[in-house]
Amino acid sequence: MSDQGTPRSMPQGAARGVAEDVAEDVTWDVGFGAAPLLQRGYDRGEVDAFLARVRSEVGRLAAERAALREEVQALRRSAPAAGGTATPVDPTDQAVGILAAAQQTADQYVADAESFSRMLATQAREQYENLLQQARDEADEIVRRAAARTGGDPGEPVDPGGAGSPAGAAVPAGGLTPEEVQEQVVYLQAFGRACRAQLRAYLEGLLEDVEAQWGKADPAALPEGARTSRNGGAPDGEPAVVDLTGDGAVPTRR
Amino acid sequence: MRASFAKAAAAGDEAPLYFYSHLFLRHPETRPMFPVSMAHQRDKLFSALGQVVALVDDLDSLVPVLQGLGRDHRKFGTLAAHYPAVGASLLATLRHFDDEWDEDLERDWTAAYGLVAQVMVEAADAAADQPAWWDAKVVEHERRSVDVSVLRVQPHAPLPVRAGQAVSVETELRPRLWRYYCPAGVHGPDGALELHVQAHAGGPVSSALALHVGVGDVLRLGPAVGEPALLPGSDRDLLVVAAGAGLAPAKALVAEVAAGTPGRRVHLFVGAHDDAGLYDLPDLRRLESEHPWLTVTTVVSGDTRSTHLNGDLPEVVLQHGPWNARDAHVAGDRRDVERTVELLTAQGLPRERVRAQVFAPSRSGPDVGGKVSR
Ligand SMILES: Cc1cc2nc3c(=O)[nH]c(=O)nc-3n(C[C@H](O)[C@H](O)[C@H](O)COP(=O)(O)OP(=O)(O)OC[C@H]3O[C@@H](n4cnc5c(N)ncnc54)[C@H](O)[C@@H]3O)c2cc1C
Ligand code: HEM
Repeated sequence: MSDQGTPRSMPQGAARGVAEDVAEDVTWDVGFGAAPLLQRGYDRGEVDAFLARVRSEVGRLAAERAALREEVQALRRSAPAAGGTATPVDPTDQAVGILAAAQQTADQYVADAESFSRMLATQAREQYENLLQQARDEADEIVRRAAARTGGDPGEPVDPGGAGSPAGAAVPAGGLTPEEVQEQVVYLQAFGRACRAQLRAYLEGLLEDVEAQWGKADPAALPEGARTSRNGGAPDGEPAVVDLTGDGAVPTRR
Repeated sequence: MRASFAKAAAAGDEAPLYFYSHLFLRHPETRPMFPVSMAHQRDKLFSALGQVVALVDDLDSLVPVLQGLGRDHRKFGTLAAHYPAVGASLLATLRHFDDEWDEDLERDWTAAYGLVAQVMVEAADAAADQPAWWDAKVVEHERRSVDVSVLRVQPHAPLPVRAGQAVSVETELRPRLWRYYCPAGVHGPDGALELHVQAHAGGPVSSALALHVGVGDVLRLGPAVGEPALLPGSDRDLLVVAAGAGLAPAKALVAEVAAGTPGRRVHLFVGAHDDAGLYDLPDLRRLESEHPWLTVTTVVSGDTRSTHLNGDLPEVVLQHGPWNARDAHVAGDRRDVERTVELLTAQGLPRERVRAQVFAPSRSGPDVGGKVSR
């Protein structure tokens, strides 16, 4: 929103034109920096249209004010010589009234843009907090489901402490008592074992598949080592499996 | 004189509107010093003018205030020649709203305004060896949480500031809107200042500084204002309470104690709504390990799952007391500051030993639609 070609340099006294001055101020980006969070929020087109309206209205007011100023200057030039050029001419009440009204209109537009920005920022914040909560809930759910699955696996004994920890897992990392951390560690270990068992089964199946296909294509090419690798697959599979369980644990930390 | 200003004041917004329109038509060169929207700022200068000029018989107590104001006005680009312009528009406004305006009033007001302006102009001239404002380049900008950023800014010339004082800040993203921030300390040989900025929904300057300003941008800073946090001549131990961004002056204070006479103990309470609001923990831990006389207690009020101390900051502070033998400095949001001061003084800490600093918004908010977060 801020890249509308308006000058960004620091104003130096009265050097800048009033129209520029006003247009730049009022087109400040009204808090749209939050856009990525707002996918479900406001229609960008509407926002732009609103800003365009503000911009054109303020431009119009600025032009009106510039005209007024010229009028005043013209009045000043035609003022009786008694005043001289050095003494400024008092504006008429009428001129003051017109400028006051223009100023109030400009104030109103800035106030509108500001309350719009306040609304966007407040909603963005609420969405952010909702998303965060959702992510936490989802992570908890993943852990809970894994726990349930682990409990059903007779090959991988589960520490009873792990079964009780789904509630503990709802606590985000960083906010845990030592007992809770211990509970979670036990629990994640169980989760890891469950994943490892599943992955091992999956990888073994995969290897078998590959070898079967390979053997079909060229039985002579089937190397001696292929059989070894299938049988002794565990040492190779282990590191990969450990990494994967590590990934699986990530959602619980935030 | 007071009566005639009261008549103008009774006209509500009409009087300042008239005043500024009159000033800008008569002296268009003054317009660029003011922000586009004058709705909230409108009565700042105008009501100050009225109060100040009406209090002119008590010049002795006014003079220091006016001197500070005069020095501070240099950052707006105000020159001595602007003062008669403002004076003329003030008088035109009073005349316009007072149907019993007469030559006596005209003479009294002219004299009073002239005196006030003279004090301000002389103070501004006396400060001519200081920059009117400091251009300060942003050299670091760290977003610490969804709404708090810590900035490090490098002024083009040394900017003297004591712990507890504030500097006003303007960003070119929000021209002519000046807001106060308390530096959290001066870093390095070049005197870079650390600023903590909490963004407020609908707050133009705080959201620009916290979320939009980046490294390399240049801010404008005004001179330091306000009383230093440390009471002169006191070597009592200190209680420091920081709510939210109130941590900024608290850190500056810890640095000042570290540089001062040894032996003063400091207990610092840092409060936030949730863990994310404790946005400066690594530095707090570092300070605590560097200074054996410093104790830091972190308090979270809105999240019972937090490992930090749970509870309402003022109450927690009180429970750790009594603090009656100490000097106290309390800074941050209005509610926490006022409540803490109330509890501490009720417990027996003399009020004159408590320095309270409320990070008030520059204006009250029309919080009709959106409740203010946090
Ligand atoms: C002496 C002093 C020192 C300060 N030091 C710091 C500091 O170190 N760090 C810092 O972050 N701020 C500090 N502040 C506050 C700061 O000066 C601004 O007021 C604040 O950043 C808001 O400015 P703004 O332009 O964004 O909003 P403003 O234009 O001031 O206010 C616009 C609207 O935003 C909302 N809003 C603004 N501020 C608050 C608030 N505090 N609580 C609730 N709603 C609010 C309100 O709805 C308000 O109407 C200090 C204030 C003072 C007086
Ligand atoms: C007796 C003379 C004056 C007095 C008592 C006075 C007083 C004040 C006060 C109290 C403020 C508010 C400060 C703050 O919020 O930090 C202010 C703001 C300001 N003054 Fe003055 N002032 C005087 C003269 C002038 C003159 C001559 C000018 C130049 C034209 C000027 C320009 C400003 C500007 C630009 C602001 C900022 C306004 C805003 O943020 O809306 N003042 N003045």
